[in-house]
Amino acid sequence: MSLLTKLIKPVYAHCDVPCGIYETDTMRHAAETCLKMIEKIEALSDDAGEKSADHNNFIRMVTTKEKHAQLCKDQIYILWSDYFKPEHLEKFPDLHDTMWQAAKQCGKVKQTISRDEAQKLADMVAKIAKTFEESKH
Amino acid sequence: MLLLRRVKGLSMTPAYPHGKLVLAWRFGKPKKGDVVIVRHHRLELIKRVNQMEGDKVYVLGDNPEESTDSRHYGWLPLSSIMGVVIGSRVSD
Repeated sequence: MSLLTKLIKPVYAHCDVPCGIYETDTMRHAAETCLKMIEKIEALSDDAGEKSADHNNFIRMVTTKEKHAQLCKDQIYILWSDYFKPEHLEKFPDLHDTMWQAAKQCGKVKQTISRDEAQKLADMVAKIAKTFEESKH
Repeated sequence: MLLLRRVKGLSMTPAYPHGKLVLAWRFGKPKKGDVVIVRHHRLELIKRVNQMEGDKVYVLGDNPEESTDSRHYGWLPLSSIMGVVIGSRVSD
């Protein structure tokens, strides 16, 4: 492409996710990471805060949990808004509620260090992954 | 007024492949089947008019597998159309 051509403003013939590739591995990995971080936080000794190294680890675990809960939420939103289409809603009538509740659950996982809440998110994501697989047939 | 733009992406292949230059005419009302430049979320998109209803327009990419279009973001206001494509050429 010549330099002159590059200067011409682009008009997008695009898809949001590169070329229609959607997957649920990323959200599953993110949800599992949250669960793992909570397990690691629980495994810290009660006086962990007193040692700088433990304190550092604790903060890193919380930061990782926060980051992956957000990643999980982003992935849910992409699949919800861009991949699923009206015909899927006919096949899976509770689709909107499933996605909405899962996105909300990501917030719960951020707010708490509850293994139950993280497991709930992992289960919800597994359900989304199953729906996603079934929607392709 | 004329708009000159460069196609970026694959949603309008094969008629308007990535890199093709398009010329669009700003005036006049588009009709079904026209390829248009439409503004959505501050991005200029190139899509084909699939349906028109009142002051709304439904646009689709020619290549549905690789297109984000009205199937995802719904009907767009007619006012979001910036121009109807009247010509194109493959860039060098």
